[in-house]
Amino acid sequence: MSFCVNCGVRLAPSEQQCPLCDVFVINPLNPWTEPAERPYPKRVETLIKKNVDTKFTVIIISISLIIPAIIPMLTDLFIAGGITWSRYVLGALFCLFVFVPLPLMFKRPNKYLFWLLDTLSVAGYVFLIYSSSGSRGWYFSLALPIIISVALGVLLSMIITASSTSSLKKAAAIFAIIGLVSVSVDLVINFHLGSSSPVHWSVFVVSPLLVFSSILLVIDRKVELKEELRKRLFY
Amino acid sequence: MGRFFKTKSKWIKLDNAAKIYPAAMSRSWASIFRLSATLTENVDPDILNRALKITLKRFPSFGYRLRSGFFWNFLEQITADPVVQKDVSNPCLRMRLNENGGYMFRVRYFGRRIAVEIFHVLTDGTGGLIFLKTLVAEYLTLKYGVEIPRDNEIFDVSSPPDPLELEDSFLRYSRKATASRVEDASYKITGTPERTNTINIITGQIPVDVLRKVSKKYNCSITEFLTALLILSVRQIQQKEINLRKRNRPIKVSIPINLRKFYPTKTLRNFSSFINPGIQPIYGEYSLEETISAVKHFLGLEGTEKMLNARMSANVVSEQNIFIRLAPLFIKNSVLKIAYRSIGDRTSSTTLSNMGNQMLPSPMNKYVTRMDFVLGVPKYNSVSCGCISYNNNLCLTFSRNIVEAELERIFFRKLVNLDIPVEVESNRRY
Repeated sequence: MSFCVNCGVRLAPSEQQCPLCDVFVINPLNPWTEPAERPYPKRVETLIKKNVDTKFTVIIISISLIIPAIIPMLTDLFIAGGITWSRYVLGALFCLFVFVPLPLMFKRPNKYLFWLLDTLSVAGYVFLIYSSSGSRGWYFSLALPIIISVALGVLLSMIITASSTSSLKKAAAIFAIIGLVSVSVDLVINFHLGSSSPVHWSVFVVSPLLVFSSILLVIDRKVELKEELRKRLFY
Repeated sequence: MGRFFKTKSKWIKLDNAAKIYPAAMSRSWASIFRLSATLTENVDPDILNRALKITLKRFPSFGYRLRSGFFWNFLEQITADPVVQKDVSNPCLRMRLNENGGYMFRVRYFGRRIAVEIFHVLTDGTGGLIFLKTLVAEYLTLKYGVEIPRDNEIFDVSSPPDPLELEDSFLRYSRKATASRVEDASYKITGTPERTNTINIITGQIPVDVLRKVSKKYNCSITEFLTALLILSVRQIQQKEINLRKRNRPIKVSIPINLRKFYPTKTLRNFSSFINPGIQPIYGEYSLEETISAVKHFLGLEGTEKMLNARMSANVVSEQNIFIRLAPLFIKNSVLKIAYRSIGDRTSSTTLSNMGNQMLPSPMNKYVTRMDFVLGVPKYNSVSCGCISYNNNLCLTFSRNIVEAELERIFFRKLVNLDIPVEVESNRRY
């Protein structure tokens, strides 16, 4: 039998520390050992998330994609006698398929592989539009660099989100990435148009984002402020 | 469609007090309490399952699941058998209502203990206690073949259920005169929020004879004494507040009152009210004697049949208002959510629910060594306290959803300073 030297209460044999003040039980005559019987088991209950039937979801999404694919294709075949404008619809639906139902088919989809597939599908779809339309010269100098810079931004955000750093640092980094992507898009557009100034509108995007990012980094360093925010904003 | 209309499952309306709980429920919180009995030997889950099956037949009000109608929620009868579960270190966690066959209670076992966790929609502490006692009696009968005399608190499972056990006694006993439910906001204990799925439990075991002796010295009951001590413990935390408004807010402790002692009802559904005795620190510091006096006289004034009836009648009148009745459920839910926030938890700093001294018939007494009562943490308060006495042992359990055990520490130290011995245990995992 041990008593807490701080609180004066008797501690049950299950208690290695006083549950009221966290003082350790140090009884040289009777060192604490795990008792055979504890007041509560070690098993923890967690609120189990509702299981989503992914197989059923994939089937439903696929069917709902097939219907809008068939109707324009048949209409195009009957009216134009071939696949003309319906290729845009088919391409868009294929992109959607790569983005949503395809990852759902896998139990643990590799997010980097799907990032690559998503990027390729978007690049391919835009190339389809480029090759089908009469206009020339905008794909390699404008569309592809924009797609690549946005995709790299997404990839960087994915890497940062998966890292073990604090959520505020993650948010700061993502704000900075959005700013960088907007600058790179602005650069590409101005380069394509042959504009005299390399950046225009992106300055107005990147400035507040960098300010937000800096504020978040400052908050992250202030432990008390962070605690206060967590206390006020917990849900 | 055809199957839907052919279904002939029985359904009942929620009682007046239960109506607020589904609305107040969130993804991570529901109003749940737990009663448990510790036996002399380890619990056999197979026998417990059999005992539960038999007991449930005598308690038809427990065999319902919660469903949503267009205007109100309702309870629909279930026929599937519930299964006993292994206990966990974080009890009173919100139960998923589509699991366990839709039952709104769960029976858990661990070592020598049988515990029942109940969603407040089904019943209150008194109903839960009758269920637990009957379940334990049935278990002991099946395991040891003991003959346990049955009465109003341990039901005879071979007798048919009384339809009056299902009645909504609020509707039956309410009158026209109502009393306002509006009260000042109380001081709230704050702290570092715990991680999801975590509930901190600390139980103090106190000898009832010593506690009774000390209470007698102060000329009050055990509940009044513990409430006063709890109020002063909250006050000690409040004194550290920097914000002047918070430092002077009233401190009130919500005390559930069993209405069955005023009316000849047999209901096993909710039939309890609550009153919030407390102190006003803005007028100055209160001594223990002054706090006991404030609590005692408040309970004397507000804890009468007349006042409690006026309070419960106000709820019944609101429920019967034609505009409220005709409002769709999603609108009602939003209104009830706000009502729960403003009437329920806002008016008290914490809760102290005392289930009183429990007596068991001697053949059963031999096998039951201890009884416990755990209140789930309220939605908008961070600490609550439940207690029950059995065999000269009062088990007082604090449950909280914050990291700091300040209230418990101050409260138990106050008891020790008054020469009342306390033995503490917790659900902490090492």
